[in-house]
Amino acid sequence: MYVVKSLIRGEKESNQNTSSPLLFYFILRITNSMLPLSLLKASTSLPLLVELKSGTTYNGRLVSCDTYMNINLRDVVCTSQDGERFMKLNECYIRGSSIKFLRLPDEAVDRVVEDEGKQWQDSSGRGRGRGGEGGRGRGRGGGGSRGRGARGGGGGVHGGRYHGRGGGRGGGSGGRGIRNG
Amino acid sequence: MASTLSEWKSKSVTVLTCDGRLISGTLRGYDQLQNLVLQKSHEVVYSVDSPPERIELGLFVVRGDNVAVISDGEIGIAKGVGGDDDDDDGGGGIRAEPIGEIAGNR
Repeated sequence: MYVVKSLIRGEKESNQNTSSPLLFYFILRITNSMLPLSLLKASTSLPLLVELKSGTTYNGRLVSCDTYMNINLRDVVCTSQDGERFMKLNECYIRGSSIKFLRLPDEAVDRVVEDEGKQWQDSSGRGRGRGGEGGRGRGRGGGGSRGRGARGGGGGVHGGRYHGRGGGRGGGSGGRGIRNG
Repeated sequence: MASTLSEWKSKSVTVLTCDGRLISGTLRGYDQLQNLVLQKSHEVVYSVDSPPERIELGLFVVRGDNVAVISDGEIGIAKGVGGDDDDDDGGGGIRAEPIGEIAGNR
């Protein structure tokens, strides 16, 4: 009942102010503003490569992440520092502070733009009149969970390609190791 | 002279990471912790006995902890710079020791 009410209210208000989120969205596009963590969040369900400070890498599909960059992966292949040993894990959780860098599929960038547009439209729809901060949180959560089911299939296609690329890079760094040594 | 990273947004930058890698790419975003988003990025690997190697990385997020230096412009591997280069992989003739780990960063 509460949800229905807020939806109805949201609908009304979104008709009144559609311009401001759109404006914000265009400003974002012009300034190319893309926070690393928004990008990471937008690549939920995409395959990615995480290298830890120790040098071990984790290849897997992103399940979730938070503002500390703690991340949750599924269908993971863990590779040791020397690239010799591999481990398969169903699921794993990586503490953000132990991450050195992440490699994401190129498609992730397009998702941020999409998501930001959606996000701001959602936020105007539901949040106004209830305080900006709270409203925004609700808007995002809704968008994320709705979007994910639909995108799962697409992610699979990119997944194949990306795994191929990851393999190539592994070979390269292996070469470097030999030369250094 | 850039005093903030915003001046380099959507420009080519090169990042020296604490583990001594050089990564060039287009700066797409950053935050207060110097986490960086690099698009179309590549790593340039130097070694003493072969020309520099370029490894394509694509879309890349570097965690701020791991960033040592950010500079503008990308590292081009100029052809023929440094003399005897006959190979055809586009690499210049420069030979250099790989940069080691940057000390004092954990």
